[in-house]
Amino acid sequence: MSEVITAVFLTLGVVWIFLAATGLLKFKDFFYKVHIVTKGPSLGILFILIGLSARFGDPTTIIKCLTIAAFVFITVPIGSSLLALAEYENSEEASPKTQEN
Amino acid sequence: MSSFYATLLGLTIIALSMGFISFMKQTKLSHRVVAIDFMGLVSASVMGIYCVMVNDPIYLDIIIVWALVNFLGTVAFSIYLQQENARNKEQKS
Repeated sequence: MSEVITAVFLTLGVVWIFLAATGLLKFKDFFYKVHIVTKGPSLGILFILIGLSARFGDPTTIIKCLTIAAFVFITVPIGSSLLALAEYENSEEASPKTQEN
Repeated sequence: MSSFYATLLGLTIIALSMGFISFMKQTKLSHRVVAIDFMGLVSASVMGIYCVMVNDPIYLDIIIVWALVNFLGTVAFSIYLQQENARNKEQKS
């Protein structure tokens, strides 16, 4: 049973990471790129960690997985917002395909 | 089951090389920093899938350290970008 849960969650994580890689190749604007690079792999890593803790199941591994998940979900938004702030202060014109609401 | 995990590992490595292609295609530094950040996250997930594949949870420690190093690298690059922007504005004015 744990093998099935592991396989399902690992597949979900890999699908999210692959979607993020496609978006990184497709998007041309900087802020679109920061958006896709932050959200896709964070969710992918969360799914992979869930599958990993279902595979092993001992308390040490689960605590380590929780630590990694908390660390990733704290640090990745901080880094991406710092990057977006640096680019926004530079403030050249956006990509011509960017549409404003 | 091991070949299934190997397929997932291969797909993740393809995603990693797509990040590398995006890194090589860019001309601006900030876009390259985004690609480096992405490659760091995908490498962490490669380590996670490898951990399941070889059935050994020791690689989780490496993921902790790698996430820390990746975060520090991103912060250092963004601070460098901010300093460079300030220097360019001073030279223009």
